[in-house]
Amino acid sequence: MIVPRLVLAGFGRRTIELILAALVIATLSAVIASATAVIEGARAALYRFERKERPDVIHVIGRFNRALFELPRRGNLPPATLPVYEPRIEPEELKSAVSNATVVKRQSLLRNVVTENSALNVYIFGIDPEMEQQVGAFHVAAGRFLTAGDQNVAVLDEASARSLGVRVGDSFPVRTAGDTDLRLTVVGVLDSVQFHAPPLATVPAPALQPSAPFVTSGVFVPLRTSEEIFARPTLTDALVVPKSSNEVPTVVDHIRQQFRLNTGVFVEESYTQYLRKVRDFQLTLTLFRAVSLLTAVLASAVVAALMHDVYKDRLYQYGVLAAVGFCPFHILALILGTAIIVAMAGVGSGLSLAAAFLPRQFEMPSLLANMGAVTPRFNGVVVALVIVAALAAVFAGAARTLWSLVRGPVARSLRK
Amino acid sequence: MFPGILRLVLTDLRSSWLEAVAALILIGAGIIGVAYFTTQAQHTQSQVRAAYQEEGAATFVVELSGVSDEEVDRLVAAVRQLQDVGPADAPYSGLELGIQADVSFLVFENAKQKEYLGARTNVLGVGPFFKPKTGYFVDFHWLNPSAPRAVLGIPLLPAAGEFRSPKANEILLPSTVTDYVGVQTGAQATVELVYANSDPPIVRRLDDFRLVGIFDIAGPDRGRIDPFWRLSYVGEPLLTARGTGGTEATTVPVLLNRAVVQDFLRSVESQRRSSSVPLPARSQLVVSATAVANVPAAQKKVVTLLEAQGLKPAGEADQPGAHTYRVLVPERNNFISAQREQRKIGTGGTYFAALLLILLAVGTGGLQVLATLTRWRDYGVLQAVGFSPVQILMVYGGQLLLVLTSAILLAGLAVLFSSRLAHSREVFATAAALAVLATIVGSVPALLWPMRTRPAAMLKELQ
Repeated sequence: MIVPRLVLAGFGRRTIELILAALVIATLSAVIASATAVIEGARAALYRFERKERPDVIHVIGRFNRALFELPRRGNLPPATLPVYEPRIEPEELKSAVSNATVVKRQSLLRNVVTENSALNVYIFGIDPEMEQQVGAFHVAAGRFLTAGDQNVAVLDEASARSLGVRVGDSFPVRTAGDTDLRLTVVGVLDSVQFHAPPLATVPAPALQPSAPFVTSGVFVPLRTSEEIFARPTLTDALVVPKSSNEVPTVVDHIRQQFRLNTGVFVEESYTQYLRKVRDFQLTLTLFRAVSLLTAVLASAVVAALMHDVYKDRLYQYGVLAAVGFCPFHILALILGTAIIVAMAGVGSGLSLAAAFLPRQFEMPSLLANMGAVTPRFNGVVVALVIVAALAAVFAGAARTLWSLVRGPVARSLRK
Repeated sequence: MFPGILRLVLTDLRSSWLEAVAALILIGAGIIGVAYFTTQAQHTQSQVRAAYQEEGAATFVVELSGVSDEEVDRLVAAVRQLQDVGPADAPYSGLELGIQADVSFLVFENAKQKEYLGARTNVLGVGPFFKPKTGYFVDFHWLNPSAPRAVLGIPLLPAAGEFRSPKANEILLPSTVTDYVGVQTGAQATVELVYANSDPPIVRRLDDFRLVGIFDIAGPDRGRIDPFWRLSYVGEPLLTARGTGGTEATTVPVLLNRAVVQDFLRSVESQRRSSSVPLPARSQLVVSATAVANVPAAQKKVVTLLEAQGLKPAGEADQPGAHTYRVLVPERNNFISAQREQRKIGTGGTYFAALLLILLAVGTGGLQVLATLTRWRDYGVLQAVGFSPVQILMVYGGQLLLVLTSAILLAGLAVLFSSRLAHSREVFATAAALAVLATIVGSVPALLWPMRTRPAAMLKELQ
């Protein structure tokens, strides 16, 4: 019973100040929680838009090869063995230009699959399965997707599988650059493919979305297998993903510098257009962040002043406790206990207030990105920030008293 | 009595100067905070407004009907002279006129054969007043005659090379075409203008166009083009193989000088003299107001001008060939949306400013309670020696007034040193008034609190 009394009792009229400090903390918490919830909601909306637009992905492509090789082949024409893009990108050269970024290597090929009765154009994509799934989405309907250790296996979409007449476990031949046939075993069939930056559809080939102007289907093989088909490690295209979107302009410059002598390599980025779309949203978010910070600093100063006054008034009592033999650790616990109780009471009320009065939808301008209203998010970050701000304020108020008790002689505290 | 009270106010302030300075700093910071926030909110609004204007929110479209090509030029020149109107142009859009362009580049050559890679796109004939970023509009009605009249702005964004209206032998291409073919600026292009609405299609081949600029294109087609490969043998075109796309006309344009398109249209007209179907005419005026807020005024002036020229507002039952006009606000990116989006900053700003003021009220209330408790004994003594509650209120209220005045002066001084804190006197005055109001609302209860306690009780607490 003595401990709660020592922590909470004996403040006299200063109890009003403690209550008021808790009230200010409640207001501070409500303000910080509301502002942070809005900012978190806005950040989440921006993040969702960024995931959709992927402004962090840079596409490096070789020029299209002469379309002669893309012509639909019919009758007795021999199977073609040349790629859609000219293979101009040396993987090592690209890697050295973007040492801090992730490189998603690709070989995009167009092949005739010739069977006894027919010949069919198919797009073959040599991919790094793990990397590719970070930038695209492949939904497997049957079997499995490719893994890093696979060799001479393929995953293809339903349209291509139907046209080729194959199912999981079947195999089909693909002509290699060495004029030999390589048999690929089907390990999976996809019912939807979101392949980032696909090539233009320029020849009749099976397609999941027949009216799309770009390739929507294909045969996906591990990069090692496509290198065998292609008979070279040179890439037709690659995706470069820097650690953050802000690095895109620098990375683009590095790539252009690296390939400045190779006029057949093109670099495409969407970061500039993304910035244009979200400019109004980001400007408003920056404004709200600045205001929240300013508010938090002001309110913390008030709380610190109130708590300091409370502790200053009670310094004598702490001196008495020290004189009668309380160990410094216990006195510290008493002081911080009061601070924590006040802070937590304020935080609890503030969070409840914010939860009750925070608007369910918050309008932010986004003319070009059309992101809609922001839904404020009450998450761990909001709660953590509120608690940190409240504790920082009360501890700042207690700091001077603690310093006097720790550094000064007990007699000085008793004299006060 | 007043000099005495003033002396008491000053003496008391001197003894509790630390609390007074703390309150002064807090209120001053509050005033600066509100002023800074208002300034930043206005600054953000103006930045957003400028961005919207740059993106074409101040632009609108006027579609004319029954007006000859020469008359359109005369009207657009007159519109440019109007007050509140900035640049205005009347581009030739292939989608409207039924013209497409096959742009190709030589990619392989030997003694006998030549191979070209290229793409079929829309064509846009533009003059020196054309603004690529904000001047290209597509009417849905051109793509689908049963669709309602609505225009969509499609921005052309610079990617490489020069970004200006092309001269007679120059061309600007979308990056999807240049990336497909694999060419950079400076390359020589061959352009075939195709009028497809006649049998056989009317084609004019134009060689040696210099590629001066490459642009990215947003919009519904996402850069969709209809790529092709062309083979010519011993100087004669032998084969053109097209991709699977391109069954529908694309909105992706190539930019040519307006004179090139005009010449082609005249030649089409002369070749089609016997045709009973009239050649579609250019009808679109693209007008930019000087500012987003000036769009309604600019629209009114343009309408007045057109009506003075004998044009009437378009209706559903217009006779073919009637001289009519129709003012269209672009879909999505227009002045109404721009103003609505700007208002959102104001609404959000008000919410945050209200939170800031609530905090200021609670904060100064807290400080006033702190001061009241510090002077609790003084209240009892003053009442015991005969001060009335009103006089005591005047003493401590006077102190608050003094602190408030000093805080305003301090904040004013800070604002004088840095204009970033408050960019105008009005902003500062509003901020000061709001902060003072919040302070008074927060402090008055704490000032009145001792008045409700009896002097005897106060003095008793001293023991």
